[in-house]
Order: sequence, then structure tokens, then C-alpha cells
Amino acid sequence: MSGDDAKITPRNLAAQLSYRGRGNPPVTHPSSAISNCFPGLEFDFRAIWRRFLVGIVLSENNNYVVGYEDEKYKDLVGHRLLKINDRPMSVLTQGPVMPGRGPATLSTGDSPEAVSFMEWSNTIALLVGRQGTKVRCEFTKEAAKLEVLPGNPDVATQTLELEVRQLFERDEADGASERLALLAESLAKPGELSQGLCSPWQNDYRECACYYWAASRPDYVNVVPGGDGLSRGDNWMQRENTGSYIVDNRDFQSSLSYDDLFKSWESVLRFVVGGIQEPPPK
Amino acid sequence: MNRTAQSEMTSGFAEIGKPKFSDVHLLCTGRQGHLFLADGSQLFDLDADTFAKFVAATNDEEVSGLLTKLGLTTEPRRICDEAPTDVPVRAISLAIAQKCNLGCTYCYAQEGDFGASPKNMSLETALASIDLLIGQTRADESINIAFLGGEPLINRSVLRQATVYASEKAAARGQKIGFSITTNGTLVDRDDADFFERHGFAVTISLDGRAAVHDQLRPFKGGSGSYERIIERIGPLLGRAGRMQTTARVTVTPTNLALKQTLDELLGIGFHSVGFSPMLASPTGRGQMDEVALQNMLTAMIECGQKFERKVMAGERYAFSNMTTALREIHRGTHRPYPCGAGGAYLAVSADAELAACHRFVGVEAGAMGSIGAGIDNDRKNAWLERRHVHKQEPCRTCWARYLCGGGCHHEVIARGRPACDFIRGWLHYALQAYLRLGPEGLDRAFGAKSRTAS
Ligand code: SF4
Ligand code: SF4
Repeated sequence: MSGDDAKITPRNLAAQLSYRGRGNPPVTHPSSAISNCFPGLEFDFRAIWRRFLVGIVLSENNNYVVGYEDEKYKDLVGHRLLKINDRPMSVLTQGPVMPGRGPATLSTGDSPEAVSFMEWSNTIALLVGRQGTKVRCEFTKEAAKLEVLPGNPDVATQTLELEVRQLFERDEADGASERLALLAESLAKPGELSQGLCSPWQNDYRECACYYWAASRPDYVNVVPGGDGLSRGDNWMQRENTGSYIVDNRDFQSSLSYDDLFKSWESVLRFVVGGIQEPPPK
Repeated sequence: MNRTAQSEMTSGFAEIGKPKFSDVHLLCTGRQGHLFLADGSQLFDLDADTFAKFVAATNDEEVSGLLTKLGLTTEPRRICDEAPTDVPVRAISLAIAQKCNLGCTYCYAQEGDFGASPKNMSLETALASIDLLIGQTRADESINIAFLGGEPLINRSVLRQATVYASEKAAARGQKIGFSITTNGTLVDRDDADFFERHGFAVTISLDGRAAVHDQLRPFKGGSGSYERIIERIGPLLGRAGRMQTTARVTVTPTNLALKQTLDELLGIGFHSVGFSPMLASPTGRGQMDEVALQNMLTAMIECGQKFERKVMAGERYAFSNMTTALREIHRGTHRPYPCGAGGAYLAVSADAELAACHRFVGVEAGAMGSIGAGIDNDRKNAWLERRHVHKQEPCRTCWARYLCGGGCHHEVIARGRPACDFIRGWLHYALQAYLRLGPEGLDRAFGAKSRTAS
């Protein structure tokens, strides 16, 4: 029997995590896949962050105060939350710009200070143990439309004690207080848990410029190798399979538009079987 | 399964389980063949033909070819040759009293004082050690303080003041802190139970078996038995089922090998769990396990394990801690290049404020790591981690169990070498089989549904 017919079954967690089913591309593997965990398909994890601190409302993906629940925090709206218990909510973004050169600071027009704001999700992990207790929150003293790097000596700050919300409902039966596997009602207003969910077929496939939605969906189809070492094929977003690749510059004449997808994603998105997107080019 | 594969599998059976390859270990449960992959501690079921090919392989190269075919080789390997450097300390132990009221025949601390004059740790040293630990860590990292000796309760007042100091200091910065104590149990009083409960101590009592056996191995210095006294003293601890937990640790010597009786008796008394460890190196050589004793111990451990399997499947709790630890580690696929945190994230402080790789290296030059006054000697620490990496150990480098075992207790290895490898591998071989037999359902019963996610 050849090695190709071998049947192995991963048994412990470690083996299951590393396991790659036969025929699956490397990106199906949890460690190498680029997949979305937020916004998600079933649950948008960012919904936890919005009302994580009692009294204020944060942007769902950022340290920006967009609202308040408690009158006394009214003035914080428009300010940035810089640190919780001395831990920064955002960090400097650095990365390669030119091949062969060292990493550089990556600033943009929207973020001249090159701020990566994603630290909030790490922060949640570190603060889940502090539910119901007060933490020290450092905000900008003034409203700040642009991102601010925590620790910037030129930015005046103010520190307030806010409470980390109880994320889960509790059952107080029989004198004992037990945490239930149910998100606390105060954590989200009606609609908030679902309003950020993905709608890949209508939106995200089109939206995502690097086609990582979804990770295991081939974006280069009908590929035929050429004698010159190059290949010919179609961009999966092309209206017609012609066998010649059209660069997707969002000219919606030649590639699918948002409208197409919203109206009839079921018919314009096509199946790919064995690398061939139906109907194959003539 | 075809006939050839079956006969190949049966003919190879006697060999299966013996250490043969450095990257994989083969095992069976009933007729099902399994493969344990050292890299990443991964465990698989194999179909009969594939299993037969591994059984028929004669060297590591052939095995490597088979693994590649199955898509099970990864480059780079999960554990590389390079040792971690400047590992921050997260746990310390305090040799709060380097003296003891017992005269255990095999004690590594030579009846508590590590072969020097008996002494207590001063409050000043204890507090400075805590400052050092907390100063090293961020508020969002959890830390641990272990009180060891000698017999730590001889110096109760410093122990308590240090605990209160550490909890308050940690609480002030919102840091999680855990406490543990290993005690011979003879000096425990009712008040201690309240104190341990309040601070959520993990209490370990050293007990070596039932009265007659225990008294022979762990008498008072005057020679009289300590068992009755301990059982009477620890009563209030066992009654507690809140934040604190009391477990029994049995040091196994050639004279107390009746493990199953010991396990049942100690669980019967009310210990939260019971674990065994073989006496591999004692300063005088007394009580050390030889090859035959280790073989007998393995048989006895497996007996206890089989009882654990039966109990679990019947839905009963049976807190045999060697088994629960092994199952947890196998489940997660624990893989590490060291046996423990000694000299890495864990350091010990001696009564006179010297730092050592662990509590057993107190006063031993090989494990010196600086002092509370002068600070942690990071060069020595880095050199230690470099030297002690399992890839640098023989014969560990090529042993399939290396990332579960880590190369064996540094202290014992330095003192005596590695006499217990067959025991270690035999136990892991059995534990892997038990894990596979229990399956998801058994694991849920043993650990609750939580075990299915890495808890
Ligand atoms: S100490 Fe023995 S069992 Fe452990 S890794 Fe080394 S050779 Fe293997
Ligand atoms: S070196 Fe040995 S005694 Fe010290 S912590 Fe490690 S396993 Fe324990």
C-alpha cells in the first residue's frame, strides 16, 4: 500500500492542532491561515470591548471614546484611552518598507504617529480576572481626533478609575454567586452583538483587497501552465472566465461589483472544482 | 486489516514499547497501533499497514522518510538547540527554616540543614526576596511563592508575616499570587488551617505510607514514629475544601513499594490527591532506588493507574496525581527542553539569602545563582540553561521521551546520573496507552468537560 493511502488520526490536542488534512493547502492550518476572528461570522468579538468599562462607550475596534452611559463621563467623548493599569492600549507600528532595508515606522495620513490600536484585545485577555473591580485608565486630557501614542510626553493626560464590567450574567441562587455562560445584558444594547458581523458573500469578498476572505478560497482559477514558465488563468472576481487574468482595479465593468453581489451573489459567485471555476473558459 | 499487516504487527509486538527511535515511539492499545511523535508531543492512531511500516523500520532515517510521507515532519523543529536567555523569574521558594524535627533516612537536605548549621530565615531576607520577585514581574503576570525547608513551620512567624506582606503587595498592584508549602505535618496547628485557607495555599504533606512503613523512613530525630502525630495534626487541613488543597507526596524507597495500599489509605484519610516520586539520589545513598526496585515501582504505579482507569470509567474520582498530571500533559502535548523551571523561571532562596537554581541546590556551588543582596546572577542563569538543555544531555538527545521528561531532575542527575530512564519511559508508555484507552469520554469524566479545551 502506498503512503498516499495511509490513514492517520490525530488523538491529542497537540496533534489535532498541527494536523493538516491530506489535500488541504497550507493555509487551512490554524498556524498559517489568515482568517478572520473579528469581525466574525457567528460572533463579533469586538462587541465585548465597546462597553468593557462601565460608564463609557468605546469604538468597537479602537481606544476612541464614542459615547457615555454615565453623565459624569460625558466630557470624555472624543478622547483616547491610552493605558489601563499602565499597560498601553496601542503601540508603535513598524515594518519593512523596502526589501533589504531594516524596519521603518509606518505612519499614515490618518495616523501620523503610526499607532497600532489593536492592543485592546490583548488587554481584555489580561483584564478578564478583574471584572467588577476598578482599574486605572489614562485618557488624553483633550479630545483627540487622530490616534495618539501612549507615553507621548507632548500629550497631556488624565487618569480616572473605571470599573471593568462583569462580562457574564451571574446566578445568585442558594446564596452562592455563580458565573453563567451567558453574556451580561449590560454588555450590549439590542443589535450591538450582531451589527458588526461579516457578510462575506455580499460584502467581504469584494471588500477585501488581498482576497484573504475566505482563506481557503482560491483567487487564481482556471490556471494553465505555459511553456514560457508563466501561467494563464482567471481572477475569480472576473465577470467572465476568459483565461486571461484581469487585474482587479475595481473597475466594475470587468469584475463583480457590490451591486452584483448584493443582488445575486448566489449566481455570480461560482464553484471551483479541481481549480476550475464553472463555467470553464471556452 | 490484511493478513500480512496483521502478522507483521503481531510479530513486532514484543519489540513495541521498547525505545527504538529518537523521534517516534510506537505503541498499541489492543490491536490498534499508535505513534507518538516527540516533536510537539503529538499522538496519532495509524492504520495497520502504516503502523507495520514503522514497526519494520530499522533506523531513524527510515522513520524520518515515513514521517515525511505522512506530512508529519516540520522544519524547523518545535524545540531548537538554543537555550532561552534572561528568563524572568516568576516563582521563588524560601528555605524558611533550614532545620527539621524529623530525621528522614534519605533527606536531600541532610535532615534539614543541608549539611551546615541549622538556621531560620530572617524576616528581612524573606521580605527582600518577595520584593525581588515582585520587582521582576509585571502586574499582569502571576507569581508563586513556595515555603520549603527543612521544616518550614519551625519558623512560622516569618512564614506568616512574609505571606501577608506578599499578598498585600500583590493585591495593591492587582497581581495574582499563589502560595504553597511542603511540610512534614508534625507541627501543623488549627490556626494554620485558617491561615492557609485565607491565602489559598497548596499544601503538600510528605508521608511515606502507612504507619509502620512511614515511621521507619520518617522518624522524629529521637527515633520515635511520626505518623500518628501527623495524622492527628493535619486533620483540620483535610477538612478544608475551600481555597486550599492538601495533597500527599510519597517518596518511594525500596522499603515502601506497596503503592496501591498507600494510595488507597491516604485518599481514604481525605487527601485531595496523592502522588509518588522515587528516591533517586540521597546524600548517603540510603533509601535510593536500584534497578530492581524501580522495576517494581513501575509495576506498582501501573497497578494504581489501572485502578484509576476503572474508577474513571465508573464515574468515580480517584486522585492519583501522577496519573492526572501525565494525562494532562499528554492531552495538551506538553513539550519542553527542561524537566522543571529550576534556574529559569524558578529560583530558591536559602536561609542566608543566597539564590540557588532550586530548593535542592541550596548551598551547592553548581546551582548558585547570585544572592538577594547582589541580585540574580543572569550570566550563571544563562549558562545553566545552556548547559542543562535536554539536547545537550546524553542519552536524552536521542530519547523519544525527551520533551515530556525534560531530561530528569537536574539535582538527581548531577548527583547520580540517569538510573531511572526505563522507569520514566515505562510510565509514559503506560500513560499514553491509558490516555488513548480513556478517549474523549474518559477524559471528560476524569477532568470534567473543561479538559477538552486546554485548561
Ligand atoms: S532522563 Fe532518560 S527518560 Fe528522560 S529524556 Fe533523558 S534519556 Fe529520556
Ligand atoms: S532540579 Fe529537581 S528538585 Fe529542583 S526543581 Fe527541578 S525537578 Fe525539582
